[in-house]
Amino acid sequence: MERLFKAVHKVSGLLEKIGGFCLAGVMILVVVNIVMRRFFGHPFLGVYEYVGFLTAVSIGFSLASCAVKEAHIAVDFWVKRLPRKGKIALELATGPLSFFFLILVTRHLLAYAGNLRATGRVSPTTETPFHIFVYLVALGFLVFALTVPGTTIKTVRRGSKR
Amino acid sequence: MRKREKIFLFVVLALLAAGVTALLLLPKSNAVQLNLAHFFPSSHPVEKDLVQPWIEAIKEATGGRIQITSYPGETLATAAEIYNGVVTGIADLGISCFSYTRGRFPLLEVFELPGITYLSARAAGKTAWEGIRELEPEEIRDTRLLMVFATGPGHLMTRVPIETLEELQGKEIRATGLTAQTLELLGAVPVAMPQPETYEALARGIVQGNLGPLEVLQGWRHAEVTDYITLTPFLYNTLFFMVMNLETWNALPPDLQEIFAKVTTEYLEEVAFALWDRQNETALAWAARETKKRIITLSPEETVRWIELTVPVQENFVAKMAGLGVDGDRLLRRVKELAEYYNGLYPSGAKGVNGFGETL
Repeated sequence: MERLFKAVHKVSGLLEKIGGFCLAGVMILVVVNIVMRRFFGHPFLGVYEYVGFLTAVSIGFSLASCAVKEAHIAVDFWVKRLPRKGKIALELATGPLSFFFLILVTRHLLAYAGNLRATGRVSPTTETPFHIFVYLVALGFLVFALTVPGTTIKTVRRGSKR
Repeated sequence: MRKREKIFLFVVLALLAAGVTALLLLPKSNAVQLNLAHFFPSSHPVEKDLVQPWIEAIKEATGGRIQITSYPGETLATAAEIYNGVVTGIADLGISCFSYTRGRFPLLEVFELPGITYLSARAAGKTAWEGIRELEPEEIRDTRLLMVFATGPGHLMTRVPIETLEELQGKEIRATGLTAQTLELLGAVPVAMPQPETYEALARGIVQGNLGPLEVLQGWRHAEVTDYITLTPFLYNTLFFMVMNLETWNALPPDLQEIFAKVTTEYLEEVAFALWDRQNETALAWAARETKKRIITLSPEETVRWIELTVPVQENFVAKMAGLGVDGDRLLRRVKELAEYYNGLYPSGAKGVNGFGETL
């Protein structure tokens, strides 16, 4: 079990790095495009689309790592006031729920990507197939889902120790 | 638990109980409830003059047995996801453009190819409607096709004046699916996006112009973010569809199907086909009068240069069709025949400016 969680952490870290490169790619693309437009009079074809694709990947890939670092926005206005046992009970209830929800999201993304592939959908300007990027976002969500059990167990352990 | 929290918990539970009871007690209506997804703003003529009156007419003709709720402005599905949303049942009905989902409707691109002349939106719509009924393309058999109508000719609306091909070079211009190819051949840099995204793209300088029907000046308020109009009726046509989920259609009793089809065809013939002709005309008159837009007419020599450059789009189409095992040449010839026939019947949408009247 522990080993699995460690592997998930490692993968999420790797995805985050790739996502980071995508984000940097977005910035470089936009800046280079502005330079090309201003000084050479001919911007690149499809920058608008590539920015969309890269942004999708950078967000999809950073979800898992963000969850590991517990950096997602959580509203704990009420939870903070709960007694320790209540907090543990809540975590035990919401953990599996989030896990199944995220698995469901992954499944639907895979189905959506499959549909895009089957119907031959491509982006309108550069005719880049869409499904590749949807598969990548689905991968991001899968790893995100796999981080949830680890986080739940950690929280429960932390809670019962105190 | 503290007292305040107890009270809070009690209030939440009470509200929940009340909600559930209300849901259970709601009278169950026998009417078929359908929802319609589209991307036009709620103030747009598509919603005001087509969708709402059509919904009323359906309701009246069926004695209230079919009730349709419209969700304008991408509130139920975004423009490019509407067709898929109808297939999967997110929406029962949907209106959008075939060209927003490139690759999904390869055959139907034949009706939007540059170089085929449509003198009016009605001529373009009639050509497509009849052509599609002859073709029965595989790619739209997963829904029930209720309407096809068109923008008719479109023009360049830009922030900088475009009087010659040279001035178009390297300009980023918003396009739809197929017009992206056309613009690229002309030397512009196409940026394809659905109409709802275009205003912001123009305002922020992501694009310097939009190739589309003149109605966007008014219906989408693009007059606020563009200054020049170059008349290019030979470059552009876009089809709209109204489709229904197949299961929803099949679940309707035969008598309702019949009434539904009849009323819908009436609205297609009387409102939808000519909707853009009317809009384009009023938008142009309004833009010239109220916003002092400069309207640029290309010289005949210039027009010939533009048209010659776009010839490969038709050739690419035929090659692509060959890959799909379709005789693209024959298809193209048939569409040209239909276009010629309907151009003869409906030669002018908006007093010449819409078609070739003044530009050729």
